[in-house]
Amino acid sequence: MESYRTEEEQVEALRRWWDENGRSTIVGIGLALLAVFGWQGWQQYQQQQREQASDIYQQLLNSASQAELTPARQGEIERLAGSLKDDYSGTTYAQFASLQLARLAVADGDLERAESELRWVLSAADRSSDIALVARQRLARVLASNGDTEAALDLLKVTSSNPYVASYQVARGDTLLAAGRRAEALEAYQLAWQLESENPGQLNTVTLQQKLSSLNPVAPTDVELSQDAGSAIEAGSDSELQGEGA
Amino acid sequence: MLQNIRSNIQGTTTKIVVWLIAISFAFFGIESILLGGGSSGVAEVNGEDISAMEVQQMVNTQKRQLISMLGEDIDPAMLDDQRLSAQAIQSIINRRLLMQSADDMNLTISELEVGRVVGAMEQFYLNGRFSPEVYKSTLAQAGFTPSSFKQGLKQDLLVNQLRSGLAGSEFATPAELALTAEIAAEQRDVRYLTIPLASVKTDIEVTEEQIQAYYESNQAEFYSPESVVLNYIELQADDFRAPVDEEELLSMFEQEKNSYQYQTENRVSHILLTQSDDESDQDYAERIATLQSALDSGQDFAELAEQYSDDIASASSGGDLGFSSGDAFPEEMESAIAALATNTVSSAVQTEAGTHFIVVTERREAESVTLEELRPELEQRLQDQAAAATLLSTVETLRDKVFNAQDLNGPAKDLELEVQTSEPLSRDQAAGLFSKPAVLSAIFSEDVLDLGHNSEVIELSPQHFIVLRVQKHNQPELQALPVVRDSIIAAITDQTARERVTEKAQQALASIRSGQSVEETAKASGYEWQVEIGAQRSGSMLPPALAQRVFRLAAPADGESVVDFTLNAQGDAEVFELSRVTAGSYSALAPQQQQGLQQQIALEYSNLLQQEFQQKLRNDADIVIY
Repeated sequence: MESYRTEEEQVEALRRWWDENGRSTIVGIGLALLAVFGWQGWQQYQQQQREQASDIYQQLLNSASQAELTPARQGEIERLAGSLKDDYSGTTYAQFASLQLARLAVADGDLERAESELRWVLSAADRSSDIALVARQRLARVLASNGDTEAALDLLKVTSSNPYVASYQVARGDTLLAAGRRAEALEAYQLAWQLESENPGQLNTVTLQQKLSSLNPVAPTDVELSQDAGSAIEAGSDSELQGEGA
Repeated sequence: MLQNIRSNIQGTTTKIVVWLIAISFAFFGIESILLGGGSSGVAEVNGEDISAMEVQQMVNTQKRQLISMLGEDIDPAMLDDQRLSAQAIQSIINRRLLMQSADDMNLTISELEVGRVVGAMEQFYLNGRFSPEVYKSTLAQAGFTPSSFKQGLKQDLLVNQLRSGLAGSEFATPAELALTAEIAAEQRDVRYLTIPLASVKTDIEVTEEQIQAYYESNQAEFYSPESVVLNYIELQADDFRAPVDEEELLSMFEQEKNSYQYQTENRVSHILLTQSDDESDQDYAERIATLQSALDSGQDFAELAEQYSDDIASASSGGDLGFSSGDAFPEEMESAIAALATNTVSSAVQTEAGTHFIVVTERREAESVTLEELRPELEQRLQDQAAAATLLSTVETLRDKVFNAQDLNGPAKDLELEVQTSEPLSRDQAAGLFSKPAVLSAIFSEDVLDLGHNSEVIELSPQHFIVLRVQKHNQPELQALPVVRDSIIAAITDQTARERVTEKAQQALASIRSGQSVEETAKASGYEWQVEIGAQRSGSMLPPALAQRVFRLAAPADGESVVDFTLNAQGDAEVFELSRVTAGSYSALAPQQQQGLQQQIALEYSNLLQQEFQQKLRNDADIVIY
């Protein structure tokens, strides 16, 4: 460390340093301030965008939760969702809105529209995000409903890292059953059922159980032959055949 | 001084110390030094603490809900803090995970939105409008501050947005509806006959050997249940009712009679003259005199009131002020009123307001109550008071005595109480005094059951106490054959009857399979038979056991049929022929059913999705519970 003998020398040294470095110091400080305020402004802008998107989405939910979906309400939902997808396309809310539109389109029987909404979600969302995984399963179901079984099954292939295996298996079962591939459908439903019964929560599984019991019937009781019911031989073999047919 | 520090910094040791301080600040931040390092939470979710207070709040809320749902008689085990807080922690963790996930997705709720929601909550309305006062006081009562309430609301809205976006946008495709309807709305034509269990029960003989064999092979069934016989002292306030002391009754009557008495009430009119600021004393006195003479001349009071009175409110109604029972007006007025006969005008009365002329237009005289009228009520109250006091002091003494005594007889004798003996009681006593949770848990506590001590004096209600001890503890033991003989015979009879019914069902089955119709078979053996065309899976057309069996079978080929049977819960056999299966059709369903099916499918998918989402959050999370 340098040491100075007098106050004057110190002042002189400072002045020299300032003449050499003053400009770059000021520019540096200026740049730093600009960066800090710019960053804050950007953050604030983003937060504002999210809040606006959130408000719009909340309005959309309010309209969509009404019991009766009048054309006027449908139009309102379309308008709000359109604004989210156009002006706030980077937000999660745009994707949520698109999922809601897909839901309404399916209820309307407009499968093309549902497909295009779901494809939009898939293009907008991160590939491994929950939203993308959900949208993929739904897209598969919409395609299956249009008769494109193979494309649907392709989308419904699960990797081990997919947390929605049970949902995917139920959808696979539905797709296969609709295509008449009953044995494979049963397998998919059984896998889903096994996963669901391991789940700690209580799930609503009425139709899954009905499908399982329909696809996996029991054989009728076999009667032991006794002397006075000799004619039951035919009936007995009959029932076995039906058992196998299942 | 700066110079001083500067020169001190030169030393190597000092330099090292300064650098150490600098480095520690740089790495750990100032808060870890100021606030202390360790976490004070009960659990940690991805690095976020869950505080003990948060858990306790949740536990308290749950307790209140449980009590309001199940009443005060609730089993204390259900309110166990440890159990509840374990649940509370789990649900707080789940909620926290949802919040973090919402945050990751950049979901947010604006202050404006929170304000809108609060503004629309009718709990905070007064006269049809939002009232900030009602808002604050309602929150305070529920233990919230406006900011904590808004915070909670914000979280609710966020979780709702997340749920609506993922699970709430679920649907049911046309293909799914069609295939589900095929199965759910499937119709099956069934002919069936019933073979009642009772019909084969009549002539069953059970041999001694059978009984002996059954007894030996099913011994586990024949143990008597564990039971206890209790000695107990029951104290009820009603037992301490004693005749009431007449003198006490009288003095109570004296104290109370005024509050039962109707007060004397006077309906009053007045004319008020008030001296205004710019009125001289003389003018004012003159005004009073004019009015006085008008009154004296007998002019109508009501008219004069309208003309002269400065009390604008009453002037137009003839000076009428309504009723007073002696405390509505200033004292000067009230004493004048009390002294007035009805419909005479008083002389001038001075109050702070000015000069009044008063008329009593109507008087309702007080009616006094008699001792006899009040006697039953007062007696009851005196008895209640006395009985409650005696009960409490007896309970206090009893507490001390039973704590030290070997049994209940001594304390009972000292206090002139009666020791009673109970019937044998089991752990799952369903009714009566001993089924109350507090009593049951006392009986089967280690102290009372195993060590044979007296229980504490248990308060069932403020008027009802009990103390007990176990007189006899009956362990489960194998009952002798003669005791259980009857039930063995019943069991064997039932078993045999079921075998016979099954046998008969199989015969009927064979006969139908060989080509006879259900009707013919039923008629030949005298069974009842029925036909159901188009029975449904979820309908109630078929008896439940039969419906279950019918829909578990594969559909027969066209033109053929399947014959099978099942035993229902009562043991009756139901033999049926399933002849035709018609797949359900979505388009044939009523609009309401169609909607129901849509909702059902979407609900099943969205339930599952929500569950898997939550499970995924948990699996990915870093959760520590201390």
